[in-house]
Amino acid sequence: MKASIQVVLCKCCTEMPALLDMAKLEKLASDAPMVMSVVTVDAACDGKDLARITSEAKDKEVDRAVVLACHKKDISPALLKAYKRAGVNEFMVELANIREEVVLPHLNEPERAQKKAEAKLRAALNRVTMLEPLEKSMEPMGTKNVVVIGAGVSGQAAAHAAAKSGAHTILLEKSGKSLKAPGVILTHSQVIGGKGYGGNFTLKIKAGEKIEDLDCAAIVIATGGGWTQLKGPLAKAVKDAIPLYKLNELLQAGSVPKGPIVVVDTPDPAGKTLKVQDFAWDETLEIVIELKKRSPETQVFVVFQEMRAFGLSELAYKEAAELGVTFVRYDKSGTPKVDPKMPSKLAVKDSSQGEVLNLSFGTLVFASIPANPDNMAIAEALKIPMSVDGGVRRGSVQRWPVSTPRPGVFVCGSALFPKSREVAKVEGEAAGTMAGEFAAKGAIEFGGSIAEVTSEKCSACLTCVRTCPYEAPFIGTASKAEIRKQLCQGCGMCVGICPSKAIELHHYTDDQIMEEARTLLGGDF
Amino acid sequence: MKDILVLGGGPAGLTAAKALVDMGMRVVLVERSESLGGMARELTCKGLVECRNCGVCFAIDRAGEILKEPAAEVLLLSETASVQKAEHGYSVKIKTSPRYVTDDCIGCGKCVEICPVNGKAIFAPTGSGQPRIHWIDRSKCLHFKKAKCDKCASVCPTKAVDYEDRAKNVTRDASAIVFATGIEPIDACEMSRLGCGTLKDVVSSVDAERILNEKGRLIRPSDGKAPKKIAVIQCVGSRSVKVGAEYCSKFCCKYATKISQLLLDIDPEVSLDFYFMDLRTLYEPQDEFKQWAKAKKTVKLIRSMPATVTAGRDGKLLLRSSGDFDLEIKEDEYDMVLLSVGMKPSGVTSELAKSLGISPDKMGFASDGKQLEEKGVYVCGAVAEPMDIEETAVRAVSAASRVAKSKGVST
Repeated sequence: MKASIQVVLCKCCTEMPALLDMAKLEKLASDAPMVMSVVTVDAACDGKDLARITSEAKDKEVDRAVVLACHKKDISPALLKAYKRAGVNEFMVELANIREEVVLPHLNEPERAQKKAEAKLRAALNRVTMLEPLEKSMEPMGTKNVVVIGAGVSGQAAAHAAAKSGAHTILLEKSGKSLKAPGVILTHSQVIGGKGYGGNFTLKIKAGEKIEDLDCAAIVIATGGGWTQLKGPLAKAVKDAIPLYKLNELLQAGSVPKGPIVVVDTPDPAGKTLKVQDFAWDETLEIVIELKKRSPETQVFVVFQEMRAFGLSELAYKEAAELGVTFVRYDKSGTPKVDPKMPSKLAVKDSSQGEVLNLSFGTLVFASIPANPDNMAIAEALKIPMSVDGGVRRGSVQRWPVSTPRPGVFVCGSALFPKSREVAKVEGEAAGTMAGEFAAKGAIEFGGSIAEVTSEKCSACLTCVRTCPYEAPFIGTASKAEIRKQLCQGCGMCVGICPSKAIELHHYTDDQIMEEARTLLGGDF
Repeated sequence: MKDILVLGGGPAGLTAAKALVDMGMRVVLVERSESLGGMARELTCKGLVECRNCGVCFAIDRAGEILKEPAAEVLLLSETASVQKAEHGYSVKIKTSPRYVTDDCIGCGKCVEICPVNGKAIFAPTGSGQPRIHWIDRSKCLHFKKAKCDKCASVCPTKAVDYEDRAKNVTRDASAIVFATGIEPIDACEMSRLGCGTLKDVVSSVDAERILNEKGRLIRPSDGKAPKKIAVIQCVGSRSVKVGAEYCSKFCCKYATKISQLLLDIDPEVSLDFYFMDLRTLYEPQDEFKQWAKAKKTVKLIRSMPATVTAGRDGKLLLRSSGDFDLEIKEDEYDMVLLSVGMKPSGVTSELAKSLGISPDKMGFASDGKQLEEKGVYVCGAVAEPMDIEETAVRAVSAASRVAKSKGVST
């Protein structure tokens, strides 16, 4: 194979030379076949060194490169741009991380570090000769619509924010409540299915009795929390327990329910998983304080597992305690129980004293905002992961906030986990803004390191179709599997599972991986 | 179009600035210190095996992006001297101190090595702060005294040291101001009973993160050895009516649990005792930390606030605490004690804040009232109330969208 390689050795200021013999590495690189130029730079993340890399690459007319530097994320974007200027395809640049993977773990063992660095250099050199140039493509977005699912506090804030970014907003609401929001409002409507990808989604909507398709560029999930009844043994013993929001409504209307009042943190304290986060503490404390102020003589108990009075809520916690609210902490060894024969007595073991308390109550309140049951259907439709407690799982913090693992889908408010109204509103604004901006881009980029099916080998067994978390593979007109390029995220699951070995992931083909592994394992270190 | 002034180059300011630039606005970002990143600069990535969602890299990444952004003007080592109400906004005078090192700096560190001043007068940027350009502290540098030392300039391979650099005064017209001066850690030494300041191996979590960020592993400051038995104490300076702050600092449980996990990832043999009052781990719906601790044999969760930390035998630390439920007093020996310190707002009491109409509430935070926003001043980030990087980012984007809304800009 004909190739001309440039090898860049980054000193990472002084870190690499302090441990590694750079001259040896340079020698190894320049002795390797097809290497046209070896450049040692002080810091490959620096503008001047990047310019040097570009000009060297241009002069020697290299078509691929090996860079020994630090973590991909620190260096990659700027470096790839530098190579782009020199006409080198971004998929022809092989990065070997010798800072985090060699220098830092072997700070006290220079010999091992040197061997490992050499092995990594050899492996990268072998791999780079096998790489193929890949191109990314662009596709225009069909619409500027942003769909906001749920018109609660966060949903309405999202719709306003998205509209300000120039998007056409469509607000979906399950109930029939009257709303004021920009764009189109569809009440009595629900998402029942969907397909597509960030930029070009098509949602199946059930609006009233009609089922229709809705094209959109971005989606904001703002389904909020769903209030439930008591569950488990408590539900059997107590019939007239009220949720916290009901207590708030009663207070707002000027009435105080019959005391003493016991607030339990979750509707199912005896459940297997104790969901401590099912408790928006800041609101609970506010309501309890309000209650105590209205009616100081009413006895109030708050029974909880973990007092999560975050931030300034701590002050509310203190205020509530000073107003005479009794806080009782329990753990798994003594969850709150009510004997059906004595339906107005709650027995709970105070875990800070180890004693069982019998609290007689006039009203039992449960404070909980479990995840909205609708989340499941929406997550299924949009192919986004759920968290263990039924909320939508947020994306990594490394990405922008309120994003999900799926591009173009944003999530805010209690759809993630219980939040106070104020936080939900702020998150809604953020999510709406991000969705609006996403829709305003007007085009999506895809391709590069994605999977491709060799149709001669495919036996149309449907394994890939079932495996893919993004619904990228489908059986095409030729009765063979094909991959929708826009949906493929390059995760490689289909590649690994295909029984006929018919699928290959570009940039990580079997040959490329095996060659790299063989070289790495060949050395002794 | 007029610029938006962003005060503070920490996670809040950076995220707000980036969001504003993305919405097509021009931004002037004023940062007091020599690099961008704020508190996040000295914090460590807590994912060795997998990402633990601590959000530190999020802030550092935004710093890198803002520096490359043509629509953003970044003024480092700068202070806002005065803010005057002008037509449709504010006229802001900014004073930029000289850096004495130009952009040619490649961060090789030779200048720091050779600097003869005790405690050095030329510095690398703090932690992982951006940009990676050194700077000289004029008050310490011998060049500006009688000695006329020029060792750093002579050793610099790129001739980046420029003693002729002068302070600059610039005036910018801003249509809105984003106030994001952020937070500072509470001094753990206020809790003298826990040995901070007197015992070398009692370090605040911020110091621990600094060590982890620099060296990639935790070492005892006294002898440089890796600690085998560590105690982590929560709520140091937070939730206390006597010292520090009365409120809960919100993110300490989050970072302390993640540091604990990181320490166990680095060395699975480390035994770790985690002392806490209430476990308030953010964004953990199922108490994953408790489950994780249960699965590890060497990790113990103890619901207790230790009484004292004193010097023990063989350079160890002696920690006295009462048990979970009983009043029995226990004594345990540790190699190292980490104090999870809380935070307090920064820059709220300054003249600048006053002239913007920002006044501290009873806990010292900047109240982000609606009246302020009508005047074009947006408070965002942990200066308004305790929050972690993730929430800061969400709130900064939301504040940016409100700025855009009021300016009638649409992308």
